[in-house]
Amino acid sequence: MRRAAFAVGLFLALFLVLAFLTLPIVAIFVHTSPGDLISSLGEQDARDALWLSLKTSLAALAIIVIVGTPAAYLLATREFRGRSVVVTLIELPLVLPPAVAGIALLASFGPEGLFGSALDDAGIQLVLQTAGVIVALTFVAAPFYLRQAQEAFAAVDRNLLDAARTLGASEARAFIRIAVPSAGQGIASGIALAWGRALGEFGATLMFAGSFPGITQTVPLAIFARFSDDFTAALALSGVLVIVSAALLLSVKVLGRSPILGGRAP
Amino acid sequence: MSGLEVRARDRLRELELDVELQVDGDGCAAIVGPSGAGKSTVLRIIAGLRHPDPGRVVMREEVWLDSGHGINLRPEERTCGLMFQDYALFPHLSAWRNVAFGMPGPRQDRRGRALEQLRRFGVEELADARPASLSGGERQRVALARSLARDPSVLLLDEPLAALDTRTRAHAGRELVHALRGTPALAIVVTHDFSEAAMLADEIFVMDEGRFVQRGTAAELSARPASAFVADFAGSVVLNGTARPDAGGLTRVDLDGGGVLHSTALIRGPVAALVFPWEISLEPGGAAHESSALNRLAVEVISVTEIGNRARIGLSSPQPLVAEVTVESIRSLALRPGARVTATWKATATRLVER
Repeated sequence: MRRAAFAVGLFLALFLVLAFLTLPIVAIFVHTSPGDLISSLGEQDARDALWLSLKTSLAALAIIVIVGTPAAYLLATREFRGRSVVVTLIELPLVLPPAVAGIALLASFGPEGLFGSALDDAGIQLVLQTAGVIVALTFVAAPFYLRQAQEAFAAVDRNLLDAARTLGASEARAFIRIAVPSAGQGIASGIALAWGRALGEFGATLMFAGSFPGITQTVPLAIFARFSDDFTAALALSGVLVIVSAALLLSVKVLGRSPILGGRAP
Repeated sequence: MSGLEVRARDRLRELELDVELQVDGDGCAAIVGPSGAGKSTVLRIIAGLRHPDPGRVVMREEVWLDSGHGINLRPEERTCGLMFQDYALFPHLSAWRNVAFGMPGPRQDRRGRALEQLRRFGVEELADARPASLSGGERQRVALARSLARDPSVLLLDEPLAALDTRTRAHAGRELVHALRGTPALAIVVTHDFSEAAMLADEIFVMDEGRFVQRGTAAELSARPASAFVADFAGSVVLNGTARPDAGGLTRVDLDGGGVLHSTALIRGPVAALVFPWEISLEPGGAAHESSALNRLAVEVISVTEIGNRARIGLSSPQPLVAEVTVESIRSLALRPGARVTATWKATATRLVER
């Protein structure tokens, strides 16, 4: 009897979690007909925002993966003094409120910021520019990837790397041919998390790069711009973002399970 | 032909490693000892995965490591194959790609050469299988094929049979002996099992707590163990006691915890008395009759383990000892835990080593 009650309790908890997390998303589609979705894509601004979101999030993701993967590998496989301090510092943006992230970026890369004049001398403009969006997305999304990748690398059997070395592989080759594929699933889920975070980024982008259609107005900013005067249009664009995000995340997950990335068929 | 020379001092958590090893020719040597003795670490030092200071590794006149002169070849620069205890096959690569991973030479004929290597070990048909779908024995062969794919001058095997079930182990062991004879590489096998070492290696280094305590052939180590530890490891019964001269030029040993033994060995003081389990006969308890066996101990049967047509009888004197008898004797002597019998053996079969 007790056991049955416990099992019912577990199922009830799961039901509540599922209902609370999915109902709002379902609501978007209840309020939005497929026609609305399609017509919202007919607007130039909406298409620009979608394209900009895709472009900037992919650029940020490329930077994160190319620089972050070796960094995560180093953190996962080497012991050195101050390692845990470094890990904590890298994870800090995870807990920063977006508004603080925006202010922090302005204070460092803005015209009046720490590196403002240096960037200006180099002819680099970030604030109110598409490049600024990429910087903001990279800043907020990178820790998600770094965390996952570091965990994935730490879980790779060190004997595999040692075996690769005794089979004539340099450290770099062991990293590329053995460590990365073995950590493939963790890396893929890190990409999914970072990409999801980048696609949804709002506060830091708004403060650092502004909200100019076609230049810095990503989908979340476009939804916010519409929300006050045209709720239906905002809903439709939200629906589009949900579908695009879900499709991207799903494809990354599927790719992570595929043998190419070292995943094993279930 | 000069072989492999290793000298190293290293610190591993609790263990102070201090080893000196010299293996000549191109045969097979074994490092044998209990787990935690530092055996695998010696292999890692040879392979270049660990860098002791001071440390020196020379393979056939090629210096791989000389901490005094700042020489330290990277693992990929040493012609050394290492087979890990769990085989460490790359899970995302098929068997042939695992083997081809370390192969030098042009890319296009790698598959052909990998297949040929797999054929040597009878697993060619598994070339396209992933390690996860292979049995333990198949994995071991693929791992062996892989570790020999670069024609190493020294092949290191870390517990090569430990990951196999008992049924596969005997067969795989015989195959391994055959494979090791067939390669020009000098082989070093690490194992915690003395009989495995005896089967695979010409020369055995017994290791305990970071040091080599004795080297020799399996027969030498069994017959003339330098310490009770080696004797125990080589399969002898070890009984501790104190030796003093006795009548007839014999040595009398008063066992710790009771009982008296005689030996023809002539040493004094605290000793370990050694006897092989198959030298010990069992008689019904209290039976008194003439025999040339001078040593007679009243013992209690603790355990009875049948191994084919013989049985290992665990005894308490109260010091633990083991006798090997035929299965027939179990019935005729009514051997079962709790039974009281007399263990007998000759003074000439009793070796003594100092403690």
